[in-house]
Amino acid sequence: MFAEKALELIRELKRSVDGTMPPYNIPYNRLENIKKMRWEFGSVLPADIKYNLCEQEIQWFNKYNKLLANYMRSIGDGGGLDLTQDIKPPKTLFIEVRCLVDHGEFETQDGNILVLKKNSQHFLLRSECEHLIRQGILEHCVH
Amino acid sequence: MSSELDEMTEDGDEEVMTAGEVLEKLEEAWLNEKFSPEILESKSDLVECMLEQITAMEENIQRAKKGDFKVSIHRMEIDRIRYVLSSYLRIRLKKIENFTAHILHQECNRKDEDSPLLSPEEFKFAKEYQNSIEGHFSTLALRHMPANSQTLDPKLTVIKSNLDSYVFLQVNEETQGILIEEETLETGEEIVDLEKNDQHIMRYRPLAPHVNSGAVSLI
Repeated sequence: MFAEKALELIRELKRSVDGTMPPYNIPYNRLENIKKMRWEFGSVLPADIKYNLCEQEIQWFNKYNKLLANYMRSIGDGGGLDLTQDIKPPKTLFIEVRCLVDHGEFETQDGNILVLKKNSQHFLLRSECEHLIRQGILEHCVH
Repeated sequence: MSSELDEMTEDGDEEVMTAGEVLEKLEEAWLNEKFSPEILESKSDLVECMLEQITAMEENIQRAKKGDFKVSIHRMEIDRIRYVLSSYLRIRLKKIENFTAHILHQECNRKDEDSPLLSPEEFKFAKEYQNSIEGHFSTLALRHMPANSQTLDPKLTVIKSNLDSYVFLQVNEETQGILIEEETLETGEEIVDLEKNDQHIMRYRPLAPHVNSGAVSLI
């Protein structure tokens, strides 16, 4: 059975043309993807993605998470800098966003509390809701 | 030429720069870092200075009247600066992650008088990142391999930046006699003089020292 599997892998290697992922690089490429997820989802992985990772990969994710968090905290003297924010150059201070899911209450910087309900639209500080947009809770309305 | 440069960098360390000048320098460092294939000298003093500026500006805004028109302009400015800062550090981090082993090797073999490639924080990150990657590969795959292939040969696996890639550049200071192409059997060597404000597309390798000294900027 293992021999069959091995034969299958060798065939795959032979079939793979230039520019596709060579099979022997799979662990490294998976790490690259896991890394990308840390930047997109933050420190907690969604359950469906976690389900597809093996034990060691989850461990590595946690290690990387810690490393990155420590590094970002150590930038400058006070408090550090969150590098996963400000991914795109800022165009305007406030942006119009539309809620895609029921998210619940959200406190803005100046202390107002608003309820993020599905299909409601808000005018928010870009810096405050950037991570919510990336998580798919809000959508940036572009006119 | 070189003595003039030395003086300039020494002055730059002691001279008090205005916030605007620091930002200008940071933006230049950011663009250079963005377009150069290899990691450049660490500019952590610029980063720290700008972070302090942001904190001070935020405090000022707190004190300003609510609804003041100036507040939103200042906020926008802070957002922009923070974007440049984060982007700069992100690009560096990406390079550190891609070329970890090579950069650590460069940094460890650096002479004391050269300025450091990495800030202390980046160096710490790079070392721990390297450990985590090696640990991961050995628990995941390498320990299941036959005994004679359980270690990765650094010569075969280390990823280096491609210094022969082409870059766009603008000349800040007139520089003469840059050896672009070594002599080969068919053709002679190729030497180029750079005039101020010229723009070129060239191979990165011969330009590397001039990017670091600030004689040319990548655009």
